[in-house]
Amino acid sequence: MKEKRIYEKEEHENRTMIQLLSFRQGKEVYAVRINSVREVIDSIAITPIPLVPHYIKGVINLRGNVLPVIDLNARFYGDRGGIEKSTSIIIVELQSHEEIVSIGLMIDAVKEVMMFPEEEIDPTPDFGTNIRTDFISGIARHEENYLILLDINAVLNIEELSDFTCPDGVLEERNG
Amino acid sequence: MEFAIVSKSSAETEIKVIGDCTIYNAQQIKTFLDEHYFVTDHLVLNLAGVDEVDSSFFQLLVAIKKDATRIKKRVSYISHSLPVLKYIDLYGAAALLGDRIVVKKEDREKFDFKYGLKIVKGEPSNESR
Amino acid sequence: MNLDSAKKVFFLESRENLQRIEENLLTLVDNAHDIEFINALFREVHTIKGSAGMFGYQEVTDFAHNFENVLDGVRKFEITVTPELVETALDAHDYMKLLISYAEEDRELTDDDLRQGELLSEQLRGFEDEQTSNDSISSSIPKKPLIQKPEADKQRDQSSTAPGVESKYWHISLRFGENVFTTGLDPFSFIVYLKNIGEIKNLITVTEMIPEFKDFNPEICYIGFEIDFDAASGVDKTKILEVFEFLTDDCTVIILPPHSEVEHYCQLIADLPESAVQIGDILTQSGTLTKIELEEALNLQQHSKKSDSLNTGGRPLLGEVMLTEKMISQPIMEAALEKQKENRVKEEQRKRSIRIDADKVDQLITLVGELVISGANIKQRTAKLEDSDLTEAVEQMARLVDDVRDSTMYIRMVPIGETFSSFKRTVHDLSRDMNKKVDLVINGGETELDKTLVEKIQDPLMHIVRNALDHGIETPEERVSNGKKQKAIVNLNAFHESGSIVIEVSDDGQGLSREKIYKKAVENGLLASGQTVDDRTLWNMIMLPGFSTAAQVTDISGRGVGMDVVKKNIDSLRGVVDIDSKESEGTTIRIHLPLTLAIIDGFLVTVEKQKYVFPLDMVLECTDVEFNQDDKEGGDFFTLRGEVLPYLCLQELFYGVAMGEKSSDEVQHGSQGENKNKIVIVEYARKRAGFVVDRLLGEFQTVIKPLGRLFHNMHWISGATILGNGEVALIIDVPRLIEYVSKMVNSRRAQ
Repeated sequence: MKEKRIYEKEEHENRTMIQLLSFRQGKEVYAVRINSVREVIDSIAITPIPLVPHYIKGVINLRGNVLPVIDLNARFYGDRGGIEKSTSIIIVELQSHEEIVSIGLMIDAVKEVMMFPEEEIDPTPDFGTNIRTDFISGIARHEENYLILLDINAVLNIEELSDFTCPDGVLEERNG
Repeated sequence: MEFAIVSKSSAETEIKVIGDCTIYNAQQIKTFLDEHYFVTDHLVLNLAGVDEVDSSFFQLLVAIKKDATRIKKRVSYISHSLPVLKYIDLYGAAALLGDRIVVKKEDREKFDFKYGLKIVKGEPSNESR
Repeated sequence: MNLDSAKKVFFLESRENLQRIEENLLTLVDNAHDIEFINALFREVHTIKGSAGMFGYQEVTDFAHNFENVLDGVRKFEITVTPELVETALDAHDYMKLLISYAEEDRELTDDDLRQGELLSEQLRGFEDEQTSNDSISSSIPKKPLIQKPEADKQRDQSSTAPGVESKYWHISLRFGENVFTTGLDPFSFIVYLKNIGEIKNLITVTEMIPEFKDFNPEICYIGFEIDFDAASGVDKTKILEVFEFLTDDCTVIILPPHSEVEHYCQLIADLPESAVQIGDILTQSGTLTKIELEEALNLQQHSKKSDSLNTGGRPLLGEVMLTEKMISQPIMEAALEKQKENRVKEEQRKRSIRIDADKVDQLITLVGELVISGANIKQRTAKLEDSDLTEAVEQMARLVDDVRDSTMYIRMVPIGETFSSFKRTVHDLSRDMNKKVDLVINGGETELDKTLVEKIQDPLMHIVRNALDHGIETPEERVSNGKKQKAIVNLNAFHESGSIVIEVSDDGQGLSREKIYKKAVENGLLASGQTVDDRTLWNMIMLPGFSTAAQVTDISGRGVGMDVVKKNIDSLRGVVDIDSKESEGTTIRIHLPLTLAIIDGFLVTVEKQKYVFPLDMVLECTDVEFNQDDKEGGDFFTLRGEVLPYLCLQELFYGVAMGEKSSDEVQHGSQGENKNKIVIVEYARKRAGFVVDRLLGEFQTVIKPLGRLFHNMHWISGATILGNGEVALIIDVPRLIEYVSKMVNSRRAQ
């Protein structure tokens, strides 16, 4: 298990620079603000959990803590998709119900950590994306490509993600 | 708790003691007084600014006084604050310490200085009240 | 320097005192003539008054003083215990609690608070006035004096043939332990407090022991006091002694009654650390002794070799000094010694117990958790090496790790009794408000459970108790007309049962109405009209969320109110609630809770290669069972030694692999027989079920890792754990799965 420790945003050339972590998912390049990212880990054993929606890939053991892993592909497109060779997991920290929740986000491949001028990020367009618009907090041009900046709190909305009942209606509430 | 040195000489040193004087800083007070008590003939402590006291400070006042009598030095306490007076009063120590005590008119009722030895013997009692 | 910690102890002890006051008050009505009892009550209030005075909390002292006076009247049978008095006393208790909490938080009293205090003091004084007017009546009642009146002392002195000294005052000699200052006590407070029970006629500060200034340690107490004291009427030696009860054993307190014999002054002089001449001077100059009396005493001393040896042998302790005083009447001495012993035991207990920040304990538990995991790892690895010495050493270490784990978990265990006792007041207040008569009976208060559990169970329990009083228990009239005793009983009970803690709240009220709940269940679509259902299933329906709301509206004479909240709270503690009720006989609500929250012994199994853990204390046995087709057709039951049990195939439930189909795991490891299945039989909350798994891997120490918010809607896994090799295994939520199985089986049977 390899770790990459990533640091916070900085001021640069009098412009507000924000630090982003970009990654490839399918054909698109996405980015998240680095302040919510705790670390990135490469391949690690994922323990699958039965009877949960397929966007929950399973749980991992991260230095003695058990964290859930969300499959971004399944979250975006509803695909089941197998594990690619270069699959990485971004460990994200979120605030939920006054507690810090750590969640792993499984993506195809990490690209880079970069400084990016905040002004160059455009607001979310209403069309032209193939993922839910509320997942997107902005779009920017970067080296010939579009960079889609994700709103990590929407992508990993705990309330939404945990709102599942088991298949077959078994075991959900105890009224049988 | 802090000290203000009003005057300093081998003949007489006057120090103002200000703030809380309790067991919490008893060691500190003692260390400070060690520096000055032994190098002057007459140590004057102005107690007007003393806020909170406890028995440890009272004991310290008695201790220097006793020692001074023993080694023929002079130690005087002046301008006792109310908290200090409360201790001197209840502990019947006005005569024991032998300093001139000034009590403001409005505070007179709070004290009666009735305790202590009935017959005051020994030197330090020129003015007991 | 720990004045703050001394204060902390004061607040802590006051809370304990207050709690005992409350407890005692609540049972006072029934024990109005139990002198021991009233005396205990008096002592608690007195202790608060005394210690509050010591720390300068004047409002507390003043108020407690009023309170104490009334109790004093009660114990002298001058004031009769009436329900009004108990109510006022309870209010006084509450007010004292408020004052102390204000003092602790350093808050000022509001005007409202002050008014309330005045009102209460007024009410308390009202009882005292009654006392005076009742005096003529009460004097006809034979009085049982608890503590000998000081007159007894005086009379003895006067009738004694030995001539006493002239002094008509008590003489008190005080010498303190070296570190009285550093323990946060100021002798000043004791003396100020002494003024509450009489007048100090003279006080001499004894400074003889103060060393030269260069050797003087300002943190050590060298001074002592000689006090002539005119005790208020009714104040005896015990009372004076009580003023100083907070002083530790290394302090010397000598109390001589008025007109004591010269001999005793001689002893006093011997017992004090200063020289006889110094003390003699002080005693004559302060007016305690005349010159002649002193000479007599000194002469006596010279003749008495014994007292000399006593003197050189160090200062005697307070109790011992008293023993040498022959004139103290036997009961007083015994009482005082007893009291002192009591205090010493208390003190020792306090010394033996330390208070630890809960966070530190949690941190320790986390570390022990890690230790357990890596211990398991080592064990696994050594097993492969087949080195018997190493294996033995590892076994040894594993046992120690087990012990460390158990001891660590035990740190967090506290008895539930305190929580139970807090309901006494609730029951008292509620039954008064509802005009019902209820006795709260507590059993098993010593049962220990995890501190977190104790805290979290308080609210659900409160809810259940309230419900019992509100809905369960009938009015006294109804009860009588139903042939019941007027006074209802609510029982709180706690005990251990098969690896869990059971907390029961039962009442002898009207019970749940089967008819009404059934009707409601049908209305809510929970049951089909005419469907048969056993009592237990029906009762448990009142804990369903939709049901309780409906119940509230229609006011079913049971307890629909908020039971879903109770259940939810208990679910979150991995507990189970069960209801048992008989119409017109009463209801029992049983809460099963796990012993601890963090580490359990687990039983490891595999299902489709994935590892799962059953909490070991819920596992009854593991066995191979042969299912034949017929059994399966008949419903998911199997028979084990004559007992019919429902079962669930986990392969099927989790992965949709039907039983009988060979799982990949089985192919690899080869199962013994076609239809043989490994089954784990579990029990929880008196229900049993079997779970079919692939392989049984054996016992395993399990540190429960929470799965977090993402899984809070998932009810069949209670957490995860990390195996020695770093692999994650899921912990089966046995209570939920049992519930699921029995429900499923019932519904199939009904079809």
